[in-house]
Amino acid sequence: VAKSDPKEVRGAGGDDLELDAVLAMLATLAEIGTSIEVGIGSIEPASHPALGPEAQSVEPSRLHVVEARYRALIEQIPAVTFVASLAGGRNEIYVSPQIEGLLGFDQEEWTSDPILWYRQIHPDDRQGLSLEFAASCMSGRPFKQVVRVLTRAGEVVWVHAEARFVRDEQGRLLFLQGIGFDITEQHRAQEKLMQERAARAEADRERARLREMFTGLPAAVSVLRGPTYRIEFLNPIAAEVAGAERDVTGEPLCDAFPELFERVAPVLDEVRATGEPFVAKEISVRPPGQPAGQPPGQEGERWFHLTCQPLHDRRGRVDALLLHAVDVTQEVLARRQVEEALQLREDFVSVAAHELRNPVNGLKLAFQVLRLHLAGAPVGGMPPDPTRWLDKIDVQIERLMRLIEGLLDVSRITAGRLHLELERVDLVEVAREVVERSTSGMDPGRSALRAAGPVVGTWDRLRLEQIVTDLVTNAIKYGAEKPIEIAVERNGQIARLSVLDRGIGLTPEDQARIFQKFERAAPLRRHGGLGLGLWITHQIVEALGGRIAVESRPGSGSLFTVELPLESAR
Amino acid sequence: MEVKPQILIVEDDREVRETLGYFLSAMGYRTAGAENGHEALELLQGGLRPAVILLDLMMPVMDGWEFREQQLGDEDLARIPVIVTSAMTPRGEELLADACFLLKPIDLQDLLRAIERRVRPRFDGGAN
Repeated sequence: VAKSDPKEVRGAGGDDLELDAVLAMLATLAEIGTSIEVGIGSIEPASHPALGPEAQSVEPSRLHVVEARYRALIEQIPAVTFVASLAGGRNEIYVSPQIEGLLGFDQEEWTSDPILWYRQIHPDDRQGLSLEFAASCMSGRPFKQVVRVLTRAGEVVWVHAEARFVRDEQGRLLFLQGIGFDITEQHRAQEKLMQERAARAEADRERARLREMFTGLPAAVSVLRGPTYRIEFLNPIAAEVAGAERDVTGEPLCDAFPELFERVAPVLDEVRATGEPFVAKEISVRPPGQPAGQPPGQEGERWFHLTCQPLHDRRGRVDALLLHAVDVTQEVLARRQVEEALQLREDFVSVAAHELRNPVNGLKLAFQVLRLHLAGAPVGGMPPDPTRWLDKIDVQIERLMRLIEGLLDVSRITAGRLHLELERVDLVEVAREVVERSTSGMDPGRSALRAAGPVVGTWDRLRLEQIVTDLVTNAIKYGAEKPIEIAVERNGQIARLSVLDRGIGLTPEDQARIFQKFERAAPLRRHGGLGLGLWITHQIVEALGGRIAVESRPGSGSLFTVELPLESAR
Repeated sequence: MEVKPQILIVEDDREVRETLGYFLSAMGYRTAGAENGHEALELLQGGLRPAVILLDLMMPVMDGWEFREQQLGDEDLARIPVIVTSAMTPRGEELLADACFLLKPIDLQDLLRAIERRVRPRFDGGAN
């Protein structure tokens, strides 16, 4: 028996009519074949008394004709037919020659070994077969089972077996007649189909997982297909970044996001044309409608690492592009902050060096003149006056010390080591001393101190002096030679010091910066200094539990106000 | 008696201005002082024609760079040689290109030599 065509097998296995016909034929054969030599496997009437006298009474010549007809039939159907005795002894008394094609055993081998058939059943299917057979025996209904049978070479053949029990008039079981169809091809086809289905389902699941992953990815992901860059996929972040206000899936990019398309089209075209991925770092993206070319760090500006990856079809052509953008705004802003801080530090070192050079310059000049005098060299016939130069040296040393103190304050404050010597101090008295000292040599009309009476609190006298000095010298420095007003007053448990000038003033942006470290509102070219005064003052005020504020307009001057609790928090 | 050349000292630091003035007077120069670029420009516009201008860079009101720009914009004033004195290496080279530069702290002998080179015309007639 050749391995049957799956279609035919399906027909045979699924259609009972055909099976019935075959089984009927087998029954007939069995009935008449008691004396027939059926090839090698013969049905011997002697060993089968059940075949009964009827069969034996058939005429030999007629029998031969019938036998030939049925034999031809049996041996041509694409299945193995068998008759098995249930009366002990040899189990199988007939098997059609197709057995050889199916399993590689010839009829003689198959029928001569009573348990060969059982040995060839796949071990895993033996129990199922036995149970089904037992069930059929008990109930008498036809036996049906799909089993795996091993060929002589050990290959697995799937067999759909069906059999019926044949009984005598008394209902006693005589033998089993059946047919086995090779359904290996069908089974394989089915298995393949199931594998394909499973693979498809797995692919679907995989796609869904991927989609889910892309959707939930903390990055913008989009797939653009075809020459029009049709939006095949757009995850929520991508939609948000692109400013999508509706579902734009399926739309060409140029329709969905015209502005964005203008910007990225050259990149997309190039990736499509070359098949080479495009990678760009820190691409700036501004919200739609915000013009480009504004200073960096504008409100809403974001930065992305952008990748455009070509996706290829089966023939290796680019048929889609995967756009992937990671938001690096936080990183860019943080780096800028660090860069700014480093720049500030660098500038500070340069400014500090410059600021230290100035008093050193004064010192050196005074020393050189003094040296000329001491050497007795004629200095243009002028009388030597060493004291004058020693005084000048003193002034420069004072300046140098103030600068160094300022630098040390920065270090102390930064390290949190600003130590306060608290004592009872009159702020009015401190202010008066500072104003006198700071404005000595100036037109007396240039400054005015207003105070109703002593304002005494618990503060650090030197630090308090430092605060007043800083504000008053700033007012003089930036006051455009116009009068400055200093006022001290008490409001409940709060002492208030205010210093007003009518000088160059401050822009709102500068007002926000001036209390920060190393910041200066005035250009360095015009006004030297470390850019630390107000920062140090601010830190001292805060250490004393107070606060400092500024009100100002460019060109109109500035009003600095310091409020200190009378009893400092520390 | 020979009339000594005049030096204009543009310097916002009073101590420094006074010391330089004293020293240069002692060396026989006539001196004039200005607190910033603006004051210096006013003196020049008022007819002062020093032989050399000593120019600090960082000053309030009008800094050295701006003064130099104004000076170079006036054909007459542009001829006056300038010695820049600053505590920091100057930027804005195009404005300061043909000026001599002395880094603070200033050595008085260096200063004197720089001034002398500029006030004594050489035989080829150049001012520098």
